[in-house]
Amino acid sequence: MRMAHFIIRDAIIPELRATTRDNAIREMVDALHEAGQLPNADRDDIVRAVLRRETLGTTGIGQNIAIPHSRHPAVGQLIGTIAITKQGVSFDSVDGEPVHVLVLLISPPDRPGDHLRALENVVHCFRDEALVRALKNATTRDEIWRLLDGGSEAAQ
Amino acid sequence: MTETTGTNGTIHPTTGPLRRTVTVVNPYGLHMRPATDFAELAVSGLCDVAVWKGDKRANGKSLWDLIGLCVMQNNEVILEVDGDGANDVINRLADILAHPG
Repeated sequence: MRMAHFIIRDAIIPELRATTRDNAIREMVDALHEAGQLPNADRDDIVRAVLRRETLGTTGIGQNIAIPHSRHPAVGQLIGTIAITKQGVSFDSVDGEPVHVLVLLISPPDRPGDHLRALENVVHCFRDEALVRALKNATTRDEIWRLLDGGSEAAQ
Repeated sequence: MTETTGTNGTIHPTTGPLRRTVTVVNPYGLHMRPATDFAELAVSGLCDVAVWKGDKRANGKSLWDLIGLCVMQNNEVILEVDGDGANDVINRLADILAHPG
């Protein structure tokens, strides 16, 4: 599984407007909706579910990365989006650093394996420091997509 | 290396780390929340901690490593703890891995 397999290209946010965790999550859920990925879904309910998960413990995993997520019956398969913020968002991360790269994952409640594989994939990709650096500096949706599809080699 | 097996299934080698095989029963596997709890507990002590899934090893103090193991429900992992107080630490870490969720 590659990130390009579950990240919805049209929902990628090259520069997040939100400056708070809660607004960042809402903006990302809205982007998935606007990309046509959450038809007939209660967006507020999805946002609440993701925020509820954050209250159980931060998904800011350090190194300026957060992976907010939730299971939700609104989706039939795992979907996600990525957002970049140059100014950073406070996420109460494990290393106390602000977050600059966010990956939101929404998965069907009955497919825990897909969720674990996606998490593994995100963490594996983001061990590539050149990729993370390139993502932080990316300014367009296409640029981010190329990086997700091709790794840091696409940055060179 | 000679070994004895304790009452709780922990292998007590005469030298080196304690090892215990744990089955993850949580339907959602070792997802981010228990992995975070595990890493935080491991970091809080002085013992070296490793988790093996097959031949793949994770540093138990690294959330990224633990997520990278992709441990699903009913997977068996081997927990390895080395250092002062390893017996207590392995019990507490195994409890997190074996927690039903």
